[in-house]
Amino acid sequence: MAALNPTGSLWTNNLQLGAAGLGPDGPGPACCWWMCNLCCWVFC
Amino acid sequence: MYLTRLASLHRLTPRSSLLVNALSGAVDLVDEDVRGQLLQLGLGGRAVLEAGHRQALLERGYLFSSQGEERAALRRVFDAYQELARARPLQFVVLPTYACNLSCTYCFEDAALRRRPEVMSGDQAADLFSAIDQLAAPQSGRMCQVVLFGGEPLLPTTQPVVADLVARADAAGFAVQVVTNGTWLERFAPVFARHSGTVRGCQITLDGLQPVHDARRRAANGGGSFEQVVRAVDLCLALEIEVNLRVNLDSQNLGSLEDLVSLLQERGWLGRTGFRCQLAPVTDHSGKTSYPHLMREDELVEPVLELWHRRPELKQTLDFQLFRVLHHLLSVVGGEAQPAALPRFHYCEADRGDVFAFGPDGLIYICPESAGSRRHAVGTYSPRFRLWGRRLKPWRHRSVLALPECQDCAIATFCGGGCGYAAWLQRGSPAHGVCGQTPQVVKSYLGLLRGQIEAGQTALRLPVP
Repeated sequence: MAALNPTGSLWTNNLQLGAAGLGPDGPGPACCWWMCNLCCWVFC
Repeated sequence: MYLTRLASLHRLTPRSSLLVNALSGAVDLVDEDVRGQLLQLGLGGRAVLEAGHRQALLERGYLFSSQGEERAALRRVFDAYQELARARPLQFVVLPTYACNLSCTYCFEDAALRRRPEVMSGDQAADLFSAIDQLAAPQSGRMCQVVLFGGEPLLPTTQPVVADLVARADAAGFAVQVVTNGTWLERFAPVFARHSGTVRGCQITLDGLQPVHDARRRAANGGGSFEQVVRAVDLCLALEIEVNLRVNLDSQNLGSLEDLVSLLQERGWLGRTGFRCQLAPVTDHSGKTSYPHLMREDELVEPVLELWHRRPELKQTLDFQLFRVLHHLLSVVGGEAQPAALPRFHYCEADRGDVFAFGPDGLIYICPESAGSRRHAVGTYSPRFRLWGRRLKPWRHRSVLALPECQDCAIATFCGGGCGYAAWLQRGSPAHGVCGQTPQVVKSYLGLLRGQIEAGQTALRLPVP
């Protein structure tokens, strides 16, 4: 069994980062980084 | 030992399978032995897992002590997602008119609706902002955004009310976004300039080079719209208004996509700050359209990814909205430089109660695409504000946790339960899930991946066992 994505970057961890106002590379517009695939509209 | 129902196995080679977890986001490669044990567990049987594998499956959120523990874990992810979603703006979509000056070959709106001349009045604009106050009040502190939509919101007939709406949004501290065909945008430049900083972005549609675009997006009285659209994009960028250039994609213009990209480069738009381009498949939520050029999303996977691989410089600018279902897999398996993804518990903001649309008929709708159809209204904003609880209820709490069709689906959180308006049209209520083409899109992508592995071209980061 081989992991293709690190256990440290699973959704629970990403949600915690987002809640802390963090993106994958540090502070910033967390809602755009983490939720851009949820948006039916085009604008964030 | 309970295997989450959100796990799915997809064979990649005769000796290896992709194991995908739509609860935790984990994606793993497994050999035949683990595959067999997991299939046995999934059928409610017992499995003899080697200790290392068992530990890995636990850590990566595949195995639980019981179904109750799995459901509690899913609920925790959902609650955290809901919390994060509250950072997103509430969207108030305003349709100053249902009329449109174009007659696009693939338009989803009823032709009779497009010819309705009514325009929102000043009194209605005032009532609308009063309704926004009441709708936003329970969620104080959230950002609000006004989206001008139609019909076509920027027409000579709508000029006074659009000026009024933008001024009111400016006074309230709301950002304004405009979804427009761009043909009359120049006439609105003084209003946009007067409220610079408030009018943040315009979505303008360009379907190809002039012959392609003009054949698809024709003026209702004849003639094309290409030249006006190009001028509108330049004007927005000069006014420092962000441009989201939308390309409505189907079999009629797919083949000329690369020519369009060349045009974006020639105009100096590609890579420019404030400019992005979004490919969106022409869709039919009613399931009844006779438009002959429609392509299913799974049919678009291969040609569009092929372009993406051939022209990697386009990844930064071309936003592949059409592959939202694949977003996570593309990011993890495809080795694509996609932003990280989260589960989709909702299909779109309408399912979260984050969108309200206001028509010139004084009615409130949830899905902007449904505006103009009285039977899909959920209330009124003018002359009185009133929400109709019975119509509103099916939209509330519409998520893959609640939709009956999603309960046994292993990829429900890639899809979000499908479009609520499509469910309303096809199943009679938004309280149903509609799969659309989600399973086929995933299957099509994994088929492509298998082909790449066989040809030794795979972008997989780890060796296939």
